[in-house]
Amino acid sequence: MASNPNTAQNSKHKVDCVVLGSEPMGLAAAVLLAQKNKKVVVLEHSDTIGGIHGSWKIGGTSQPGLPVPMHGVTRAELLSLGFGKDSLQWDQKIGDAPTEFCGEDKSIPYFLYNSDTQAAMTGEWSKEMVQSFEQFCTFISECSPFIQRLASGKLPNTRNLNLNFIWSVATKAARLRFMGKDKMMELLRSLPMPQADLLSDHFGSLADANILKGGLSAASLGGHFLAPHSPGTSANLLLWLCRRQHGFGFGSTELVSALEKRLTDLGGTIVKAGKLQSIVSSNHLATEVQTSAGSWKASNFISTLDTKKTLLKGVGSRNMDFGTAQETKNMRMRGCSAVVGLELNTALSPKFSDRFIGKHIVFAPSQEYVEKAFDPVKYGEFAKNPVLEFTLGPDQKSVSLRVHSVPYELDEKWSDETRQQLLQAVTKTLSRFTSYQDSHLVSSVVMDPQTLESRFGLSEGQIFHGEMGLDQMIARPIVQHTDQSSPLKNLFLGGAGCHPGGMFQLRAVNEAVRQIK
Amino acid sequence: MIQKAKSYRSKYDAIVIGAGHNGLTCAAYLAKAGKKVLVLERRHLLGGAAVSEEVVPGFTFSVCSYVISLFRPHIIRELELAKHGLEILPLETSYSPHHDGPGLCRWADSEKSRREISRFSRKDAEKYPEFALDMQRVSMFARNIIDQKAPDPTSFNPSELWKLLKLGKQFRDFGPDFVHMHNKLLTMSSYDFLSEYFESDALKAPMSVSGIIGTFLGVRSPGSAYVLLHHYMGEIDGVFRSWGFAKGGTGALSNAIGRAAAAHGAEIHVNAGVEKINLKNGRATGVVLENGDEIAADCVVSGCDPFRTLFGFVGEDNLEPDFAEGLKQFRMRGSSGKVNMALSRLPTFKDGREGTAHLRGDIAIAPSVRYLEKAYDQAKYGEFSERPYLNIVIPSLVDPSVAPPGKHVMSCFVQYAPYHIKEGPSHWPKLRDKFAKTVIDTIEEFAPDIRDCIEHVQALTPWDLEQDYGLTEGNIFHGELSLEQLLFLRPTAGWAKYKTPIKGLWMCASGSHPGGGIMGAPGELAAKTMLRSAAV
Repeated sequence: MASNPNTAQNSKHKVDCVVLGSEPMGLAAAVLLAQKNKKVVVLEHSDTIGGIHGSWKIGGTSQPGLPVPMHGVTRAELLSLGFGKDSLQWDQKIGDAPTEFCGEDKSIPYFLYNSDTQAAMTGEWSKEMVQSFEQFCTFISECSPFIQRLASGKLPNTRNLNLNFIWSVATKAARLRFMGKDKMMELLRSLPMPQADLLSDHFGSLADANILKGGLSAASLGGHFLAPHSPGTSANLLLWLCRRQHGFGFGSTELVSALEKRLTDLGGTIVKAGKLQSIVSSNHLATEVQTSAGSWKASNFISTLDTKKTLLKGVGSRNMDFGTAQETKNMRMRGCSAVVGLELNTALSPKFSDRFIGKHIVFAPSQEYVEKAFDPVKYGEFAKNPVLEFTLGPDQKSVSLRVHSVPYELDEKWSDETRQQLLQAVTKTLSRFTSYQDSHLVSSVVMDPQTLESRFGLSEGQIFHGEMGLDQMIARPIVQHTDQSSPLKNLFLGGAGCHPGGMFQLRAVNEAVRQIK
Repeated sequence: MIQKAKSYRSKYDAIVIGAGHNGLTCAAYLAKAGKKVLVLERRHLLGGAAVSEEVVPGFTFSVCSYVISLFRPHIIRELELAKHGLEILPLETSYSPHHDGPGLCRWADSEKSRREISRFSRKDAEKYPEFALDMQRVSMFARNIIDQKAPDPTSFNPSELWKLLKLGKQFRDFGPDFVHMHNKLLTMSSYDFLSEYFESDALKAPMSVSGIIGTFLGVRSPGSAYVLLHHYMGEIDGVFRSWGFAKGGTGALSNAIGRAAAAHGAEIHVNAGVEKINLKNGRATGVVLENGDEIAADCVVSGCDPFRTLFGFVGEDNLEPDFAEGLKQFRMRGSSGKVNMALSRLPTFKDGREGTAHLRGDIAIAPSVRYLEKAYDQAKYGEFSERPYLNIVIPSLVDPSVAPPGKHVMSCFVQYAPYHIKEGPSHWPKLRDKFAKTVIDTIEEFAPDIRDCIEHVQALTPWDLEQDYGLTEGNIFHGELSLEQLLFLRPTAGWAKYKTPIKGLWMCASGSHPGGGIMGAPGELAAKTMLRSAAV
């Protein structure tokens, strides 16, 4: 790990470009800028490079923080970052490492290719289920090109209904129309629906589909303050399904390490710079970033921090127009996930077989389970039966979990005691479907949303930098700045809070870098 | 206006099935254009779910719908409904009692409202008029959508594209923030949308709840902000967001439309339930009544919901499988019930308020957002709410004609009461008493002497709404008003212009654009579409 040691207070620096935030998208932005021969510095406030995706310690061991499988990233994007075949395990495709949807007594390995999933479930699934699944997968693959185009394209700017806007909408509409009239209507009809209704349309009430429905809801909605009966969540499901049509089996933590090395090789630096204090500007031009460790002057700035932090803390609401400030304040950023790490002395395996098949494991035995887990969050409580998403370290003894339906504002307040209660809910749930026993636990780390905020700088612990409800998807991050611009002409917004959001994606960062000459 | 003799013409230009307010509106417009129209109603009186009935001697209940607001003003003018007896008395207040204290009452007098809201939040009191203005802007825009046929986005027809462009221009005229506000209203929850304006729970609870009436949504469900607008769009005499009682109960509206239709020559028969629609070579040629009578017509218009029309009167065997499968996905899930009561006197609300002025409008049992959301949570899992949301009106305070002197009618709209309870819908009759008790227990928490005032209770569960009032699955809007079931998708893709795949069979009720809410718009637009296409 090559990064400068903590710099002295009040130290001043000057570079070409400053990137705020060392999460994977920030590092990628820095690499792209360095490749353009810019002198780049990445400022990170926490003790972990990669933010929530970096590696952090549990007890005595350092382990991957949140090794989320790399859905959605393309080979072209990796090449553009200068990665040859050796720097990342390109041959480890997502196809080999399915997402495993677990119930209490069985699981469904959800592969990249549906035929693989079907093959795995032969003998388990009824004829009706196989047929329904096939039709569902056909529907997804028909929608996929359009959804992917939407995800990788620009958002139309609704504040300026000029020819550009008409063109942008018309081309999307035409693409939609060329799917065919029936398919177009089906997609238009599907998008605003609750996920529960969409899946009910496709699978009826087939018992075989319970785990699939639960797993899909959990994976596509966890962390968004939404549940399967919420309208608009079909859009989240379609986005999740369509974008995982390609990807790689390595996790984001591995990507962070690789990006760090690449950046250093290119002469860029990553600095543990303490908390952001402000982005100083004059005449709508950013001039320098001030943190608790010093200040950095530059001609261009890219922020991959969440938009509330960038604009309200960094730029300051007095330096932008009222509408923009209002819209930023109104962004819904309610974190509702916790990150938990467990160090075990015994390898973790499922109750129903000797090892987990998937690299990304989800426990949500049914849709009702997911909905019931979500209810308490609305009332300031965490779910006693939470939804769990996790990955295992190579020896299956370290577990990195995302625990869903854990509110930022806990009625009882977050403390060591309530964190302990949350841990108990997690381990109790693990015992339901795995070999876990309390005697296996060596040490643990529990990061509730408030801890995530203080440790990783995520406003309200919102791991996606902004909930992905429908209204916040179509104007992401805020309606005034969906094009990577900001109230300051040389400050660009990249990061998870930008369109399309939800997974690692280079679209926003590419667009930001493109605008830097 | 109702025919006594059961003698029919040998052939009509159009037969309208169902004398609900939309069926009657459609009949009136067709008759006005000179067509020979017959309206057939299964029950003994007009109105469908917009009906007044003397359930208890001396007391007139608006059994189902209880207020009017969205009924299109131009229909009132064009059919001269005032001449035919329609008089609308505005609701003067919107009152939300609390368990402690005087609760919150919003008045027609904006200064009074401001003072009340200030008790909970000064900031909210300031913001309140701004919110009203924003809603009015969107309402003006939305009005255009209601009063026209739904645009068809799949069509390459230049006139359709032109309509879309014109719509786009209207967006532009409302300013740069308008599209975004419009998008937010379509996709946000009513609670989240209101939270952008207001901070106090006391205000947000009763305001957000108009977002979920008749839907299977909670106040925190995305998409409920749209229904908030739908209810905000009502206007009386040009004033938006004003609701009113029809003098004589909601049935008075239906009766006035019926009189207008009869005045133009339409025939209306009650106790004449339709069994099925006659088909010849896939074409509707008339109907067969429950008593066996056959009546012929050039076309048939259904004022019933799409399921009753197409699966009931036509039969699935006569429908293309693809169409039938698609239509089956139209969601009807009723989520509400009704409890109507005859009272010997006014109950006493323990709010410490003087007089009864605050009771002359609607009374919302919605003490907090948490209360409302918990009521919804139960419905998701197939139970009716233990502590439901109630929208109560006491119309006799404003319209003494509906009750004997000194006595009162209390109408309670109840949510949530899901049609699909976990024991299955046919179990509802066994739960009726418990359901009524739940409602009265809830009222008792705010008006402790309610039980002393009750002379008679009529409880309508979603099952009853279906069995007795023809509303499939007890859905008061003939189909949920969710985004994917509106405009060109209502009731199903490709069939949003009142036609059905059966030649000569049309639909004119709330299951078609623009949807439910006693608008009269579906009936009018269906009639005008039929006349323009020379189908009749």
